[in-house]
Amino acid sequence: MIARVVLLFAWLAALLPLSALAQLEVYEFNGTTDTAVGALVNVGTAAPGDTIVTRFHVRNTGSGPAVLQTLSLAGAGFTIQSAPSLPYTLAPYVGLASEAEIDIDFSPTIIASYSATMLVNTTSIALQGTAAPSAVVTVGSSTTPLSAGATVNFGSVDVGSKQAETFVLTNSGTANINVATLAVSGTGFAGPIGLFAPVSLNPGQTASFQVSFTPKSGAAAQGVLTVDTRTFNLTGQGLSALPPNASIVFASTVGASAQQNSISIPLAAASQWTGTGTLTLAFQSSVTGVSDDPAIQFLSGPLRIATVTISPGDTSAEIGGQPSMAFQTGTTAGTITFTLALNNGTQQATLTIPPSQVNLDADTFSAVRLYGSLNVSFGGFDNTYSASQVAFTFYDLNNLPLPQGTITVDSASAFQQYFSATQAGGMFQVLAEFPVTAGSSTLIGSVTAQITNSQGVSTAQQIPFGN
Amino acid sequence: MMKQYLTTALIALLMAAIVAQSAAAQSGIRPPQLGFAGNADGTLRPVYGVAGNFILGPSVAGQVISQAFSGSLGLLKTDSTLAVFDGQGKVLATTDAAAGPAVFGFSLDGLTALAYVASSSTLVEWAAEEFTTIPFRPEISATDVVLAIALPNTLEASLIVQREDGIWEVQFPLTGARAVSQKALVGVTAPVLALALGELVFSDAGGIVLRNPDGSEVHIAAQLPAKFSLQQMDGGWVQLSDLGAPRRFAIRVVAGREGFYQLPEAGQ
Repeated sequence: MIARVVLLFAWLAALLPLSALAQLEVYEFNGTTDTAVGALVNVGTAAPGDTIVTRFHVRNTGSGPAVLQTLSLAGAGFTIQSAPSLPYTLAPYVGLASEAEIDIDFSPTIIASYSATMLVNTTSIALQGTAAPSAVVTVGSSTTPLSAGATVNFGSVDVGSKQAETFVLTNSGTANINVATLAVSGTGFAGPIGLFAPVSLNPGQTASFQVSFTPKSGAAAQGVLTVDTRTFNLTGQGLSALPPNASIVFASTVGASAQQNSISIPLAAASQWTGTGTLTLAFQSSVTGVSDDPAIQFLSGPLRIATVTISPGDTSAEIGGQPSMAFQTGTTAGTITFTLALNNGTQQATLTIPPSQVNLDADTFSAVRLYGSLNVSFGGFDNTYSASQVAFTFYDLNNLPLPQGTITVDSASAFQQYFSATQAGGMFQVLAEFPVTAGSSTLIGSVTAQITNSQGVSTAQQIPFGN
Repeated sequence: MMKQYLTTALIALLMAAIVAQSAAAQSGIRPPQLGFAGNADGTLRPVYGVAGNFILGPSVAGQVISQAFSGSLGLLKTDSTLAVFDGQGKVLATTDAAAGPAVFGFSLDGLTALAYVASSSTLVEWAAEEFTTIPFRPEISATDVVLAIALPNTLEASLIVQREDGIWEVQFPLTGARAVSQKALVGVTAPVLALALGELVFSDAGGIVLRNPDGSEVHIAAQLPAKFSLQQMDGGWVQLSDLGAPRRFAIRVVAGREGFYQLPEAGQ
């Protein structure tokens, strides 16, 4: 007999839900503190059209897991705004992460008393709320009533400046309304300005007041406007009077001609300032008699000036509307200087373009046999503008130099004449035409061209002849 | 031994003539030109420079909606005209054409060109200094989008077409007969450009892809605009046009010297 009783007990225990072996408790949470609830919770008073959100936490105070299986709400004016998906297993309570949250909206539509019953597993909690006549609150030129808990954003305001918003209280009902409480709190926010509680409003009557935002620092600010039992959130962004420290950063710090590089402007901290500045490019040539190289320029927008824009939260400035700005270094030796001007001063960064040997571009090499002549062409750039001697060595079809040796031409005056007239900086393309008055040009297989400037000799190696 | 002696003697005569003329030969110095670029303002401008340093010359044509330059010959399309121009930007001939853009292809020597005008499905050849409309019935459907055209030899043309199942190359004879071959271009994405040597230029997530006729690929790292088109700018250069902004880029497609650059904007 005893054995049968023990077996029956074990069988019954297996059938019982986990929750029956554990303990669920419900708390009302005000944003910072949990308070255990009894059989009745009064959620407060709201105006028709407003919503009061009441947050509940469900804890498992037992020693084993518990399952939240049942959650229901019956009654007008109350709805479940959010709740965990059921069934929901709760571990024994050890902190915030081990409890479930249930949010209940109280949204009355008419002036009346409201009640509802919330069932959490087997725990029944009566909810009560009251809809009382209250002033409709609007802001600015909007005619849309603000709901309790709504947020009014004052935008970005410079430190020391003031931004004011006008609020209007309207009695849209048929009975007199008395607004007993009208208050503003929060650093940087002030008010009400122009109206003080208590305020009596006849049906159809309005009353307005202002709330101002005067940021004390370049940071986000929050405040609260209280109208009787309702609260409205106030937010604003303070803007520092000065931009954060900015730096000029090159994608490549190597200074050389015919390079495409880009520049960016990282900020020392996220900006609490908004405004614009300029980034200018200037070039100082180190070549005697050469004042500029027009190819040294930004590759988007105006040639040598770009607008720099900084907005709140930016960690780097925009240059000409882009995160970085591409530029090219031209083909003239010298110094490229970038100047960043913001309202807290200017700073500069430079790229030095050193003089170099003639840089020959293999794309430009060609050697062509024409009827009665040989044409040899090569190009590149001379960032010193000092090209002088050009030497040609012709090779036969066996790659052996012709016995005449190297043909040297003093081209200094021709290059000086060209460089003084061109707008192409140090870039050039030479076309050397060699008339053939005797012999057969088909016996020549290739040509090597050498060009000398103040920095040395450059060679275009064995350009093969084509027809 | 006798042959060697003869060769040397002939070249010696030649070189004597060269020396006498070489000083005059040096007078030909000019800025290096890298073809022609179409700009956001509708102008066609010569591009001068070397890799990494570009200058745009003055406009040689306006209201240009499509253009290409082989290195010696160029084609441009305005809304109603197809024109051919030379290396100086001088228009050599024009012919009426249906509205809308065109795609162009060049022969290997750069002297023969094809233009395909999508709005009229017309194929026009420039050869022997005249335009000729090519009757053709390639096996492409009305839903196929012609992305590029190539002229692999003097007898055949290739259309690169976008179909629902990918991008295909349709090769057909210029005689007007039906297509002789079709093949799927696996891995190729639009936009795509076909070059005279048979290379395809297109893009992937990392930038530009150059696919050689043997299937080998060269990848050029680049941050590409969201929407762009490709045009041949010169023998070794391809222009990439940002369709959402005035920015223009230049892709160097010469083997071993590939690169991606930004061109100055016209009218800066």
